Amino acid sequence: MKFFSAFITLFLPWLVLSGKYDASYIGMGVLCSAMVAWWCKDLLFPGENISIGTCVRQGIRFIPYACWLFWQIVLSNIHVLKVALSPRMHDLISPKMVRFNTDVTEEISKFVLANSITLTPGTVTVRVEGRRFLVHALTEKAASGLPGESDEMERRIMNVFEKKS
Amino acid sequence: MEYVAYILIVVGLLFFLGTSIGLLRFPDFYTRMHAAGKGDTLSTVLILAGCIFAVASEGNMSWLLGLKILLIINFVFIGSPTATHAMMDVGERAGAKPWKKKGGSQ
Repeated sequence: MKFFSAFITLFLPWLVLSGKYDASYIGMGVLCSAMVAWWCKDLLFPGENISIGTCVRQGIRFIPYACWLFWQIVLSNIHVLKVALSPRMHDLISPKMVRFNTDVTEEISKFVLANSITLTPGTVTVRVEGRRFLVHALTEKAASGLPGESDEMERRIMNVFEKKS
Repeated sequence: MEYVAYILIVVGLLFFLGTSIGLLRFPDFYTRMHAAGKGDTLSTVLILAGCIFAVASEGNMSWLLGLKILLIINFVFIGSPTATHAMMDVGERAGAKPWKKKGGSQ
Protein backbone atom coordinates (compact mmCIF):
# COMPACT_ATOMS: atom_id res chain seq x y z
CA MET A 1 0.00 0.00 0.00
CA LYS A 2 2.79 2.37 0.98
CA PHE A 3 4.67 1.39 -2.15
CA PHE A 4 1.64 2.09 -4.31
CA SER A 5 1.01 5.54 -2.79
CA ALA A 6 4.68 6.48 -3.17
CA PHE A 7 4.65 5.26 -6.77
CA ILE A 8 1.63 7.43 -7.64
CA THR A 9 3.15 10.42 -5.84
CA LEU A 10 6.29 10.13 -7.94
CA PHE A 11 4.80 9.08 -11.27
CA LEU A 12 2.20 11.85 -11.66
CA PRO A 13 4.81 14.65 -11.47
CA TRP A 14 6.91 12.62 -13.93
CA LEU A 15 4.04 12.62 -16.41
CA VAL A 16 3.54 16.37 -16.00
CA LEU A 17 7.20 17.30 -16.15
CA SER A 18 8.36 15.03 -18.97
CA GLY A 19 5.65 16.08 -21.40
CA LYS A 20 6.52 13.28 -23.84
CA TYR A 21 4.19 10.32 -24.07
CA ASP A 22 6.11 7.74 -26.13
CA ALA A 23 6.32 4.20 -24.84
CA SER A 24 10.02 4.57 -24.02
CA TYR A 25 9.60 7.73 -21.92
CA ILE A 26 6.61 6.32 -20.04
CA GLY A 27 8.52 3.08 -19.51
CA MET A 28 11.50 4.91 -18.06
CA GLY A 29 9.15 6.84 -15.81
CA VAL A 30 7.47 3.69 -14.52
CA LEU A 31 10.85 2.06 -13.92
CA CYS A 32 12.38 5.04 -12.08
CA SER A 33 9.25 5.74 -10.03
CA ALA A 34 9.00 2.10 -9.03
CA MET A 35 12.66 1.91 -7.97
CA VAL A 36 12.60 5.15 -5.98
CA ALA A 37 9.22 4.28 -4.46
CA TRP A 38 10.54 0.89 -3.36
CA TRP A 39 13.59 2.38 -1.64
CA CYS A 40 11.99 5.52 -0.21
CA LYS A 41 8.47 4.44 0.72
CA ASP A 42 9.27 4.55 4.43
CA LEU A 43 10.75 8.03 4.06
CA LEU A 44 7.69 9.38 2.29
CA PHE A 45 5.15 7.70 4.54
CA PRO A 46 6.68 7.08 7.96
CA GLY A 47 4.64 5.48 10.69
CA GLU A 48 1.89 2.94 10.42
CA ASN A 49 0.03 2.01 7.30
CA ILE A 50 -2.39 4.62 6.11
CA SER A 51 -5.45 3.82 4.11
CA ILE A 52 -6.14 5.34 0.72
CA GLY A 53 -9.59 6.41 1.92
CA THR A 54 -8.15 8.55 4.74
CA CYS A 55 -5.74 10.14 2.28
CA VAL A 56 -8.48 11.02 -0.18
CA ARG A 57 -10.78 12.37 2.56
CA GLN A 58 -7.97 14.54 3.97
CA GLY A 59 -7.11 15.72 0.47
CA ILE A 60 -10.69 16.76 -0.23
CA ARG A 61 -11.03 18.52 3.14
CA PHE A 62 -7.70 20.26 2.48
CA ILE A 63 -9.03 22.15 -0.57
CA PRO A 64 -11.36 24.55 1.32
CA TYR A 65 -8.60 25.04 3.89
CA ALA A 66 -6.15 26.00 1.12
CA CYS A 67 -8.66 28.53 -0.26
CA TRP A 68 -9.17 30.04 3.19
CA LEU A 69 -5.40 30.18 3.74
CA PHE A 70 -4.89 31.90 0.40
CA TRP A 71 -7.41 34.57 1.30
CA GLN A 72 -5.64 35.11 4.65
CA ILE A 73 -2.34 35.42 2.79
CA VAL A 74 -3.83 38.11 0.53
CA LEU A 75 -5.28 40.06 3.48
CA SER A 76 -2.17 40.00 5.61
CA ASN A 77 0.15 40.65 2.66
CA ILE A 78 -1.73 43.87 2.00
CA HIS A 79 -1.45 44.67 5.72
CA VAL A 80 2.34 44.18 5.73
CA LEU A 81 2.67 46.17 2.51
CA LYS A 82 0.81 49.08 4.11
CA VAL A 83 3.10 48.91 7.14
CA ALA A 84 6.24 48.77 4.99
CA LEU A 85 5.25 51.79 2.91
CA SER A 86 3.84 53.88 5.75
CA PRO A 87 5.92 56.94 6.68
CA ARG A 88 5.17 56.22 10.35
CA MET A 89 6.45 52.66 10.03
CA HIS A 90 8.29 52.68 13.37
CA ASP A 91 5.05 53.54 15.19
CA LEU A 92 3.08 50.82 13.50
CA ILE A 93 5.33 47.81 13.99
CA SER A 94 5.81 46.23 17.38
CA PRO A 95 7.79 43.06 16.80
CA LYS A 96 7.69 40.46 19.54
CA MET A 97 8.23 36.79 20.20
CA VAL A 98 5.06 34.89 20.97
CA ARG A 99 5.02 31.51 22.70
CA PHE A 100 1.99 29.28 22.80
CA ASN A 101 1.02 25.65 23.18
CA THR A 102 -0.93 24.11 20.37
CA ASP A 103 -3.75 21.63 20.67
CA VAL A 104 -2.95 19.76 17.48
CA THR A 105 -1.21 16.47 18.10
CA GLU A 106 -0.29 14.79 14.83
CA GLU A 107 2.94 15.53 13.02
CA ILE A 108 1.29 16.39 9.73
CA SER A 109 -1.05 18.93 11.31
CA LYS A 110 1.82 20.52 13.24
CA PHE A 111 3.74 20.80 9.96
CA VAL A 112 0.78 22.40 8.20
CA LEU A 113 0.19 24.76 11.13
CA ALA A 114 3.83 25.90 11.22
CA ASN A 115 3.92 26.33 7.45
CA SER A 116 0.63 28.25 7.43
CA ILE A 117 1.86 30.59 10.17
CA THR A 118 4.99 31.32 8.16
CA LEU A 119 3.09 31.74 4.91
CA THR A 120 0.80 34.41 6.31
CA PRO A 121 2.86 37.61 6.26
CA GLY A 122 3.51 39.19 9.63
CA THR A 123 4.23 35.95 11.46
CA VAL A 124 7.10 33.47 11.18
CA THR A 125 7.45 30.20 13.04
CA VAL A 126 10.86 30.26 14.68
CA ARG A 127 10.81 26.92 16.46
CA VAL A 128 8.56 23.98 17.21
CA GLU A 129 9.42 21.75 20.17
CA GLY A 130 6.86 19.11 20.89
CA ARG A 131 3.66 21.13 21.19
CA ARG A 132 5.33 24.44 22.03
CA PHE A 133 5.53 26.97 19.24
CA LEU A 134 7.81 30.02 19.19
CA VAL A 135 6.58 32.61 16.70
CA HIS A 136 7.90 36.03 15.75
CA ALA A 137 5.13 38.52 14.99
CA LEU A 138 5.65 41.79 13.15
CA THR A 139 2.67 43.80 14.44
CA GLU A 140 -0.01 43.56 17.09
CA LYS A 141 -2.54 42.81 14.41
CA ALA A 142 -0.49 39.93 13.03
CA ALA A 143 0.01 38.54 16.54
CA SER A 144 -3.72 38.61 17.21
CA GLY A 145 -4.30 36.08 14.42
CA LEU A 146 -2.03 33.48 16.04
CA PRO A 147 -3.42 30.31 17.64
CA GLY A 148 -2.56 31.59 21.13
CA GLU A 149 -5.12 34.38 20.71
CA SER A 150 -7.64 33.09 18.20
CA ASP A 151 -8.00 29.41 17.49
CA GLU A 152 -9.49 29.66 14.00
CA MET A 153 -6.47 28.35 12.08
CA GLU A 154 -5.95 25.50 14.55
CA ARG A 155 -9.61 24.55 14.44
CA ARG A 156 -9.60 24.41 10.67
CA ILE A 157 -6.43 22.28 10.58
CA MET A 158 -7.81 19.84 13.15
CA ASN A 159 -10.95 19.69 11.07
CA VAL A 160 -8.89 18.61 8.07
CA PHE A 161 -6.45 16.12 9.59
CA GLU A 162 -7.74 14.90 12.92
CA LYS A 163 -11.44 14.41 12.44
CA LYS A 164 -12.18 10.77 13.05
CA SER A 165 -14.69 9.54 10.52
CA MET B 1 -6.74 36.79 -21.75
CA GLU B 2 -3.52 38.67 -22.43
CA TYR B 3 -4.65 41.68 -20.44
CA VAL B 4 -5.53 39.52 -17.42
CA ALA B 5 -1.97 38.18 -17.59
CA TYR B 6 -0.50 41.69 -17.75
CA ILE B 7 -2.59 42.91 -14.81
CA LEU B 8 -1.65 39.90 -12.65
CA ILE B 9 2.07 40.25 -13.42
CA VAL B 10 2.09 44.01 -12.77
CA VAL B 11 0.25 43.61 -9.44
CA GLY B 12 2.69 40.86 -8.47
CA LEU B 13 5.61 43.15 -9.30
CA LEU B 14 4.06 45.93 -7.19
CA PHE B 15 3.89 43.54 -4.23
CA PHE B 16 7.54 42.62 -4.85
CA LEU B 17 8.46 46.32 -4.90
CA GLY B 18 6.61 46.88 -1.63
CA THR B 19 8.38 44.03 0.12
CA SER B 20 11.76 45.19 -1.20
CA ILE B 21 11.11 48.62 0.27
CA GLY B 22 10.06 46.91 3.49
CA LEU B 23 13.32 44.94 3.44
CA LEU B 24 15.26 48.21 3.34
CA ARG B 25 13.18 50.06 5.93
CA PHE B 26 12.61 47.49 8.68
CA PRO B 27 14.89 47.83 11.69
CA ASP B 28 16.38 44.39 12.43
CA PHE B 29 17.11 40.88 11.19
CA TYR B 30 13.78 39.35 12.16
CA THR B 31 11.54 42.03 10.71
CA ARG B 32 13.61 42.05 7.52
CA MET B 33 13.15 38.32 7.20
CA HIS B 34 9.42 38.96 7.33
CA ALA B 35 9.67 41.22 4.31
CA ALA B 36 12.29 39.21 2.43
CA GLY B 37 10.99 35.72 2.99
CA LYS B 38 7.30 36.19 2.55
CA GLY B 39 6.56 39.05 0.27
CA ASP B 40 7.31 36.46 -2.35
CA THR B 41 4.41 34.20 -1.42
CA LEU B 42 1.66 36.38 -2.84
CA SER B 43 3.75 38.12 -5.49
CA THR B 44 5.19 34.88 -6.87
CA VAL B 45 1.74 33.37 -7.05
CA LEU B 46 0.39 36.43 -8.87
CA ILE B 47 3.25 36.51 -11.37
CA LEU B 48 3.06 32.76 -12.05
CA ALA B 49 -0.72 32.96 -12.41
CA GLY B 50 -0.12 35.71 -14.93
CA CYS B 51 2.26 33.40 -16.77
CA ILE B 52 -0.42 30.69 -16.86
CA PHE B 53 -2.81 33.13 -18.52
CA ALA B 54 -0.07 34.27 -20.89
CA VAL B 55 0.72 30.75 -22.12
CA ALA B 56 -2.91 29.63 -22.13
CA SER B 57 -3.48 30.96 -25.62
CA GLU B 58 -0.35 29.44 -27.13
CA GLY B 59 -0.26 26.06 -28.82
CA ASN B 60 -2.00 22.80 -28.07
CA MET B 61 0.25 21.71 -25.17
CA SER B 62 -0.45 24.84 -23.13
CA TRP B 63 -2.40 22.95 -20.45
CA LEU B 64 0.79 20.99 -19.73
CA LEU B 65 2.77 24.22 -19.30
CA GLY B 66 0.03 25.46 -16.98
CA LEU B 67 0.30 22.30 -14.89
CA LYS B 68 4.07 22.74 -14.65
CA ILE B 69 3.63 26.31 -13.44
CA LEU B 70 1.11 25.06 -10.85
CA LEU B 71 3.79 22.61 -9.68
CA ILE B 72 6.22 25.53 -9.29
CA ILE B 73 3.64 27.39 -7.16
CA ASN B 74 3.26 24.26 -5.05
CA PHE B 75 7.03 24.01 -4.46
CA VAL B 76 7.29 27.71 -3.66
CA PHE B 77 4.59 27.27 -1.04
CA ILE B 78 6.48 24.42 0.59
CA GLY B 79 10.03 25.70 0.10
CA SER B 80 9.73 29.37 0.93
CA PRO B 81 8.37 29.04 4.49
CA THR B 82 10.88 26.29 5.22
CA ALA B 83 13.81 28.47 4.20
CA THR B 84 12.46 31.47 6.12
CA HIS B 85 11.90 29.34 9.18
CA ALA B 86 15.42 27.85 8.96
CA MET B 87 17.06 31.28 8.85
CA MET B 88 14.92 32.63 11.70
CA ASP B 89 15.73 29.58 13.80
CA VAL B 90 19.47 29.92 13.20
CA GLY B 91 19.30 33.65 13.94
CA GLU B 92 17.56 32.98 17.24
CA ARG B 93 20.05 30.28 18.17
CA ALA B 94 22.97 32.59 17.32
CA GLY B 95 21.51 35.12 19.73
CA ALA B 96 20.32 37.91 17.46
CA LYS B 97 18.33 40.27 19.67
CA PRO B 98 14.88 41.19 18.37
CA TRP B 99 14.37 44.93 17.90
CA LYS B 100 11.97 46.40 20.44
CA LYS B 101 10.04 49.62 20.30
CA LYS B 102 11.70 52.21 22.52
CA GLY B 103 9.68 53.23 25.56
CA GLY B 104 6.92 50.82 24.65
CA SER B 105 4.87 48.83 27.06
CA GLN B 106 6.80 45.62 26.38
